[in-house]
Formats: sequence, structure tokens, C-alpha cells
Amino acid sequence: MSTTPSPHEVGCPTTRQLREWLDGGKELSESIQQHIENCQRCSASLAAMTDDESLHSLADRSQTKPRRLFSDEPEFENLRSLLNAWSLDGLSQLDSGDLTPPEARESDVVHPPPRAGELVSTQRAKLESTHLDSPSLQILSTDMLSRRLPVGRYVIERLIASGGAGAVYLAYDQRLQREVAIKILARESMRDRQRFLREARTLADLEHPNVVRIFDFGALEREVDRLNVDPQLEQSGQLYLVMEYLSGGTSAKLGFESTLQNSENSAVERKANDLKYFRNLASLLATAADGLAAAHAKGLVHRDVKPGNLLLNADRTAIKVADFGLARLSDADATQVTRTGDLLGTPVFMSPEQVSVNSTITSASDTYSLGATLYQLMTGIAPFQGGPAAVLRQVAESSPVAPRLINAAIPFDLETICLHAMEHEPASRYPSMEQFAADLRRFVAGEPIAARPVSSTTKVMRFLRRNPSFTSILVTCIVLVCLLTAGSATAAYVYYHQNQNLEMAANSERRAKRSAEEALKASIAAADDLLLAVTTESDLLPRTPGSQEVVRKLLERARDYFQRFLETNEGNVTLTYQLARAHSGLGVVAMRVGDAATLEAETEAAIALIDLIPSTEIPESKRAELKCDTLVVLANYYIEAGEAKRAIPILLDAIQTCESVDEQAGDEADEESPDGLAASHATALMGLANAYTWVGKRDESIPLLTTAKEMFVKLRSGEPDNQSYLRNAAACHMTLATIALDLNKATEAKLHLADALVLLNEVDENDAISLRVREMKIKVFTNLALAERRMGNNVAAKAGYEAAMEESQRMIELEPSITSHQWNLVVASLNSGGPDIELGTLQSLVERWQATVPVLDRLIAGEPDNQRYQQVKAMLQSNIAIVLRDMGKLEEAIVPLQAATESLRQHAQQLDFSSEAYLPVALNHYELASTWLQLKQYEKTTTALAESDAIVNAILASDPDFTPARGHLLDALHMRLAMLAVQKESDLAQRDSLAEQSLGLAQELARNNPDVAEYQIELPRALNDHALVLADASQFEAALTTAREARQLLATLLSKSDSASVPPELGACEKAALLVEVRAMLHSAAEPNSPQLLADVHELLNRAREFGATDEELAGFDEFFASSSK
Amino acid sequence: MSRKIDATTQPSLMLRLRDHSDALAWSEFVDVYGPLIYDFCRTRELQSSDAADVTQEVLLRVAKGIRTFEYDRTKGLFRDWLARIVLNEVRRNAKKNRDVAIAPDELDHDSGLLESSWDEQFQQYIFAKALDRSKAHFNEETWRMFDLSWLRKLPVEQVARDLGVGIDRIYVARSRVLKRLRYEVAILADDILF
Repeated sequence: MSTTPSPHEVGCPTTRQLREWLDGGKELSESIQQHIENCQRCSASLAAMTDDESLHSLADRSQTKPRRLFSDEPEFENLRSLLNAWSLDGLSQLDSGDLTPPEARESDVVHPPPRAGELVSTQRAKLESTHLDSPSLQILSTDMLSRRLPVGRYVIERLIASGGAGAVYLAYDQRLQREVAIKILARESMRDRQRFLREARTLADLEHPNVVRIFDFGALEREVDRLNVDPQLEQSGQLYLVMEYLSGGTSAKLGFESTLQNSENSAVERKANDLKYFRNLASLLATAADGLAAAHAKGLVHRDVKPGNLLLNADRTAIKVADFGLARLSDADATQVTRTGDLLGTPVFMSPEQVSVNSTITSASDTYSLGATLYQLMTGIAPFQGGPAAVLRQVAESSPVAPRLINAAIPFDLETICLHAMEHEPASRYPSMEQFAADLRRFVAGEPIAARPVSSTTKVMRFLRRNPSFTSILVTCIVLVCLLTAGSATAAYVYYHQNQNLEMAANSERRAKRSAEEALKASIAAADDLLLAVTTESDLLPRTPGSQEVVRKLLERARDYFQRFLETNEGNVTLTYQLARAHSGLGVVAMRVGDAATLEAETEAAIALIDLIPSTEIPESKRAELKCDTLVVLANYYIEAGEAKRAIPILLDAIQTCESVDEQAGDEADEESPDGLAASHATALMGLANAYTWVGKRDESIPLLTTAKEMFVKLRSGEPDNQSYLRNAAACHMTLATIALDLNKATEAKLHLADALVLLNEVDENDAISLRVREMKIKVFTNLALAERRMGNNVAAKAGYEAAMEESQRMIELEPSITSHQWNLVVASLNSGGPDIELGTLQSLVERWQATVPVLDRLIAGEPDNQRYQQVKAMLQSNIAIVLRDMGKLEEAIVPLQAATESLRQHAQQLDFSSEAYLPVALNHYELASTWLQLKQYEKTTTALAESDAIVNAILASDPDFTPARGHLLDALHMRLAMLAVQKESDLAQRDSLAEQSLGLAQELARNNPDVAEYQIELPRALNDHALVLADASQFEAALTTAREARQLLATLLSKSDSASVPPELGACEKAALLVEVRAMLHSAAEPNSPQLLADVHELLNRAREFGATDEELAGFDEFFASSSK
Repeated sequence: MSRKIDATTQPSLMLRLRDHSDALAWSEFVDVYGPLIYDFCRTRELQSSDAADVTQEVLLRVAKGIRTFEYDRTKGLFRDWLARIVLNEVRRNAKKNRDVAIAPDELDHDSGLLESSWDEQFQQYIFAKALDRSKAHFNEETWRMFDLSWLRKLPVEQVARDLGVGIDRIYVARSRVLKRLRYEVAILADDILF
């Protein structure tokens, strides 16, 4: 059967075939195409297939009511430009809930945001006045774009990203057969265009593995064959840039997720994984820093470093930096105009100098931004929270919250690196990208990093972290701490989280419906925490003004708590121990605020209650511990108030309490006393030793300190993490050293100081205690230097002072607002003069002192009324002049010396004519006299000495017991005698009377100060002077006797000092005595040429040479021998 | 080397707004919804400056709501969610401007009217916008075939004759453009169906 099939039945393609054809998947054959043309059925099904009911109804409605949209009004166009200026990064700030629209940076941020109605108009005015191009983005279709790029070369594949500055596409370079990224820049001004071209050329030059390479750039061709092109676009001929394409994506995709990912792993594994993440992050960012460093070397500053501009290579092992200098929004040369209008790109990563108006932007800005990037990638949140305006304000004014507070897994060193890079002042950051990279690599390698922990905020936050168990009563305190330290804006975040956690804890406590007893226990535990915070932890806070405020609030809080506790529970016999605790706690609070009356009353109340505690309720040791601690608080207060005598019986009582428990324990069982009691005991012993030292009973305090130290060391071995035991043990050694120094036992002091240093070095650098430990180290170094100096080891002494200065410098950096660190530096610098003078390293001394002057200037600037600083500055300046003089620059020294003298005199007047203040003036006159003497200006010498004497006599008239003044008087006499001795035609009678005077004074000084080596030497010195006068008067016999007397005294003094190192002044005195003695011997000898005499003389002269006699000084004797041998 | 746009996998504008690294999303968002909201405000007889304020406020709130997952597409239409925000802002603005408290029932009475006109404007606007956006993806000829045969509903044969092309090409053009149009509408309204 063969019937001609109807075209409908035979030729009709299946619906599926039609679908595939419509979708462009398959071509239809020629015959089917023809068939469709004529087939009604196919046409109908195609019409149905190429229609959409719902779209149709939409289309109908749209077309029936065509109308002009209001959105072409200028109001809307302005709004659109404004909103488009925000990037998504800026918008991410919205998440934190701040909906304040961006304001101009200059606007006064303290004011509440203007009414919404005003906003747009304000911004509009700004936009109009700046002739700002709307940075709105032109999204071009890919084929349209391809046609406007060089013909046949690049095929645009897809849009990768776009933002205010332009859009980036993935494209295929057909000529070189590789994928490339093409960036099309937003329309820009001619100026921008030129800058772009310049930078693109420089960048094309820059071949570095960590910088995205540039292959090509040019301007888009104009589209002529398109009808629907935006006419505005048509005019511009936008610039495009062809770059290396990196498939790894941006580093914004990196993120700290370990806590989520590894929630099932053990804590140890988690920690290891966390560390791995941070090491990987650090090593990635180090590569970014390498790239930036290379750019900086070419004078290019990136200006827009942020996660989105740090691209990862395919295997995500290195970063390549993209978008160099292309972010016109952060252009350094850009006018004010551009900055205000366009600034709101990525303020979160901008450096303070970038957001402030008149600052220059340098490579340090990139350092900051890379630090901010590190911050974001460590913590998962931006360094600053809030709306764009709030962020700008914070960037300009505050420091970010310590990263470890947000994510405790962040390693301390990495936090330190991050915050160092983000220092507010460009000069405080890493000096170069290379150094930033090096520190990151040190962290990766586990080596010590170069950056030092930065902000005090960190420390406070660390303190807070250490006390997570605070219950709800402390919520406000913690919030307060944050507000006071972190700056209110950044604190909001911390507040939110802390508050949530603590509220949750508090709620669950409430829900648990604890019994009254349990609730009481909980509140006592909270009080314990609080007491701990008040007594110990608050002491560890950095002593910045802000943290002092925190401590005060904590104290008030504690006081309120204890008082309320007492009010509700007073008289409850079952709570005797807790009540005693509360009284004791109130005592601590009173002690910290210096309220002696309350302290005494509360101590008494606490002790009375403690004695009532039945031993059945609380173990005896616990009772004793509380009693001892309570007493020690009172005693320490007395010691600090200078009433050490009152402290002694209290401390003896405290020690007795501890020992009686020990004895009982010893009787009943051979058990050690509990650690808590032992710690209290040792603290009491240390306190007693301090009290004894204060009242001068050094011998009594030595064994106490030794015992206390041993107890602390033992306690520490049982509890290695307790850093305060270490600190206390070190403190014992330090006091022992001070005592040894007072007793002139330098070697012993040195050993104690070395022990102290070993202990202090063991304290964990990361512990909150470390700041105070550093301060202790400064003291150790200073005392060590003093001991070494006493032992004559000037090189070691110098090193000690230098170490003290270095450590002080670090403390200044850590706690810039604490003036005592600067003061420590000044003191160490002043003291370091001694060893340098001995060593003759005068040049370095002058330099060090000159470097110290600015430190003093800073102190003075902070406290312009502090006469002490002014005085020390004048002293330092005169010291510099004196050293210059000793370097042979005699004339140069006169003027600065005179100026310093005058300024010292003025400050002395301001300081109420106190003896201590005036003496330096006299000393300066003396130094002036000495300078004149060396210049052989005898009249001026005499005048200067008279000035000096006048002041000293005035001092002595009002303060006859002021020994140093007498010593100074003696020095002046000595100089007068020396001056007269070199003047040939001097009056012998005058010299004789001066020598007599000097002898009388010296005898008095030596007699009244038997322990002070300095004054003991005055007597032989005066005898020398006298002997010299006698010799010059040809009374050789008397001269000989006097000189021998001097040498006898000197022999005693010399025997006391270490034979290896004789104090220089002692040596000089011995030398002078020897020379006079020889002279007198030779002249008074019956037989001038007897061999015995000559042998004796030779021996004495050799000894003189040993003590530093010069050839010049010995030359006279050669002549004598020559003449007498004739 | 075939990396053509795969329209079906491109996430909705709303979802992209959640991804901070998608910088395009924000400007696109502003360009798409800004005019709609502004226009709506103006048709509600708000002053131009008030309309701009409301628009700004709404856009920020929407961006925030999307990021904080306040908007959940499984729980309702984007259109309705957006309507609530717009209406709230319009009312807030009205209240502020009148400077007197308005009785709650007065507002409630008003809101029914507001909503019905919103739905209409939203749909019309989104469609027009989708049309606009689609147009950029096609050459002029394709677009004209679609325009005449679908939008203007001229008979396919007539269009083929007028343009001098085969009828098959017109169907292909319609199919391609409609596909794109559906896609754009879905992106813009964050919903497949209206």
C-alpha cells in the first residue's frame, strides 16, 4: 500500500526535536524547515512553545499603561550616584546594624545624624560642588565588549567582579592561547587617565612573582555598529588593562574556620590545626608583602591593599598583588574633592593617614592595610565595626580590638605582628615591607619575632580573658573595662559578645533555681574572683590613665558588694568565715584607695571574727591564711606610708599565726602545710624583712628574706604556672642585694641580682605579669651596674646601665603614658656616666646624654611645673658640659656650664630653698672653678669657688646636718690648695691655714660617717694637702710624719677594698701621699745618698707608679737624684 | 574553550548581595530597585527629596535584611517582603513630615490601597527592566523579530515577510529572547512565577 503521506503526518518533527532546535542545540534539516513554513500544526505548536502566559500578561499590563518614570528626576540621579559610590565592602558594615548613611569625613561626627530629609540634599550639594562623575558601573554584555577590544585577539568569557573603579572579566587571549583577566576601568578624568597610563607602564616594568603581571593596556574601541549603546559610554573610550589571570580567587575566601570544622576533634588536634591555619596565612601574607616591597622599591604605593586585591595562585601557596595604584579612590594626589566624595570604597582597610585630610600617603599606608587584612583574615571580622562613617572615624582615632579577644586561637605573636603593622603612627609601624615580611616568616618558622607587644588595650583584654568565670555581678565591670580601654566604638562589639556569654551564664544559673545556700556559695565565689581581681590582677594592669579608672571602678564595685553582703548577713554565726572575708576584702579596698581609718577598722573587725571561727567550720590552715593575709595588708600599708615600725608587731603576729598552724600540723601528722598558707607565710616574712630594712635592722632581715625566697621557690615548683611566686622570690633576692650594696658587699649583691634575673627571665613573656616583671628587671640592671661599679668592673657596669636603658625604652613604648619609665631611662642614663668617665669613653657618654635630653623634654612637656625635671635637665646639661671639658674642650664648656648653673639656681629657688636643690648649684660653681683652674685663670677660679662656698655655707646655716654640703666645702678647700700650690708666689701662711681648716673638716666628716667610704678618704686627702704645704714650707720632717699618717689611714682603707680594683679616688690619694713622702724623705734624710734611703725611695716611687703616677710627676725626682749624686 | 554564560546557574541578585566579594551586586541592586522605589514614592505623592530619602533608607534596609537572612525566599515573595519595607518607610516618612501622630487605623486603612498599587507597579517595573536587560544580549535583528512577533503580537508570517527572513528564525528568536526574559524576571523578582 502506498499512499502519499500527508505532510502533516510525515514531516512533522517531534516536540522534542523542535525544542532542541529552538534551544539552538541542533539544526533542522532543510526539508523540515520547509515543512514548518507550511505546516499549520507545527506553526501553532511553535507559537505555543515560544510564548509564555505569565510574561504575556505582564507585557500586556506594561504596554497598556506606558508612562514616564519619575526616576529620571535629578533627585533620583543624585541618590543613585551617591549609593553607587558605596562598594559592597563598605556595605558589609551594614551587618553590624549601623544604618547611618556615609557622611563626609570632615563633618562633625559628634552630632547626631541629620534628619534623613537633609541627608540627601547635603550629599547632593557635595556631589554638585565637586563635579563628580558618577562612578556608576557600566555593565557591558560580553560580546559587545569583545567587539570593542582589539579585533580577533580577546574573547570575553565572563564577568569576574566589578566595583566602583571598574569591572574585571575573564577572557581568552587567542593569539597567545591563554586565559587573561581584563579590567575595564570606569570612566575617568584626563588626569586620572594620565596617571593610569604612567602607573601601568611602571607596573609593566615590575616583574615580581608576587605581583600580578600586566600584559597589555589600551582604550576600548568605539562601538559604531550598535544602536542601543549608551551615548555617554560612547564618548569615553574607556581604558582597559590585560592582566595575568589567577584561578585561586581572592584571599577574602581564606577564613578561619577551624573551630567549626574540627569541633569533633580533640583540643590538641584543634590547636594544631589552628596553628597550621595561622602559619599558612602568615606565609601567604609574607608573599604579598614581598610583592608590595618590590613595588615600593619602584616608588609605587598600592593604596588599596585589601583581601579582594590579594589574589591566590592556583595551588593557593602564594599571593599575587593586584590592582596597583588603580584605585583612584585612594589616590594620594587626588584633590580633596575626590576624597570626600569617593572615599567610601573600603575604609575598613585604609590607614589613618589615608582617611585624614592633610596627611601624606607613603608605603607605610600599605603596611597598615596589609595589617588590617591580616586582622580580618585572622578574626573573620573587620578591624572596625559600624557604618562607613563610623569606620572612618575609628580608623582615624582608635586602635582595633585585640584580635585574640575575638578569636582566642590566634597566636600571641601573630597578634603582635598584626597590631604592630596597624600602629596608628606610620613611623611606629614596620619600617619597611621587607621587615613586615621577615617578621611574618619568623612567626611561621617559630622563631622569636622582632615586634614587641603593642597596645595596653591588649593587656587589659588579656586580663579579662584570664578571668572568664566572672559571674553576672561583674558584667558591668567588664563592659566598663572595655569601654574605657578599647574606645567606645570598638567596644560595642566586645560588649555584645561578652555580655551575651555572661548573660547566658547568669540566666542558666537563675534557671537552675539554686537553693539559698548554693546561691550564697555562688556569690561568695564571685566575691573571691572580685577580690582576686582587686588585690592581684588589678596590680598587673598597665598603669595607663584609662586602666587606673578601671581599677577604681572595680574597687568601688567590690566595696559595694562586700558592704551589701555584710548588711544582709551580719550576725549570722554560720557565716563567720565569709563575713571575716568580706571585712578583710573591704580592708583591701580601703588600702588601695589609701583610706587608713577604714583599713584599720575593717582589719580589726575581720581579725575579731576570725578568732571566733570554730575550727570545725573551717580548717585551721584556712583560718590562719585569712588572718595572715589580712594582717599583711595592714602592715604593708604602714610600710608604704613610712611607718615601718608599726608594721613590725603586726607582721610578727601574722607570722606567729602561720607558724602555730605549722607546728600543730607537724605534731599531728608529718604533712606539709597547704600551699595557700605557705604563700601567706612567705609573704608575711617578706613584709617583715622589708620593715626591718626600713628601720635599718639589715641583719635581721637577711635570714627572713632567705627563708621567704626559699618558700617561694618551693611553692613555685609545685605550681609552675604561678608567675607571682617567681616574682616574689626575685623580689627577695633584690632586697637582699640592696642590703648587700648598703653593706658594701658588691660581690654578694651581684650574686643576688644574678639570681633575681634568672628568676625573672623565667616569667612567661606572655603572662600579664610580664609588664611589672620588666620594671623589676630595670631595677635589677641598675643595681647590677652599681654593684659592678663598686667592684671596679666599669665595662660590666656600663653594660648594666645600657640594659636598664634599653628595657626602659621598651617600657616607654609599651606604656607611653607612664612617666616613671621615662624617668627610669633618665636615671640610668645619668648614672651611666660614672663607668664611661672611668673608661674614658667620653664621646659615647656625651652622645648618650645628649640623646637623653629629649626624653627629659618630653617629661617636662607633660608636667611643665615639675621643677625636679627642670633641675635634672639642667644637671644633665652641665654634666654634658663637664664631660666636654674633660675631653679637652675647655673654652667650649664654660658657657653651657654657666647657663646650666643659672638655670639650676632658678629651679633651686622654685624648690623652696631646699638643701638638696641648692647643692647642685654649688657643685656647678665648683666645676666652673675647676675649668677656670685648668685654663689657669686663677682669679676666676677664686671667684667661682667663693660662689660655691657662699651657697654651701648658706645651706649649712639652715641645715647644719647636711653632710654632703660639708663634703663639698672640703672639695673647695682642696681645690684652693691645689691652685695655690701651682702658683709659685703663693702665701704659705694662707695655705697652711687652709690646710688646717681642711684637716679639721675632714676629721669631723670621717668621724661622723664611719660607714661611708667616701668620707673616710677625706682625712688622708687633707693630710696629703697639709703635708704638701709643709714640704713647700721646707718643714720636711713634719711633712714626712703627716704623709706617713695619711698612708697609714690609706692602708686601712685599701685593705677593705678588693685588691683587684682600687677605687680611683683612693688610688689617687695614695699616689699623692707617696710623692710627698718621697720628697720629704729625700729632703729630711741625714744621709741623702745612703743605699738604704735610695732603695726605700725606689720602692715608694715604684708603688706611686702602680697607683698611676705619671712620668711628669716622677721627673722631679730624677733631677733630684741627678743633683744629689754630684 | 567554551565558557558561555550558563544562565541557569547564575544566582539571584538577592543571593549575590549576600556575598561580599560580589561587588557588582550592590550597584546592580541600586540600579534595579532604586528607580522602582523612587517612582513608587513619587506616585504616592511624596516630595522628590522625601522620595530620595525613603529610597535610600529602603535600599539600605533591604541590603541589610538580605545579609542577615531576614529575607527568606522560602517563606514568601520578595515582592511582598520589599513591600513591607517600602510601606514602613513611606509611613515613617509621612509621620515625620506631618509631625503629628496619626491614628493607627488611618494607616491601616491606607495600607490596602498602597499594597495593591505596589504589586502592579512592581510587576510592571520588573518586566520593563527585564526587557531592557534582555535586549542588551541580542543583536538588533533578533530583537526586532521578537519585538514585532511577540511584544507587538504581529502574525509570524507577516513579520517574516516584512523582515525578509524565514519563519523558523522568528521562532528561534522568540524562544531565545523569552528564555532570557524569564531568566531576567526571575533574577529581578527573585521568583520564577509572578
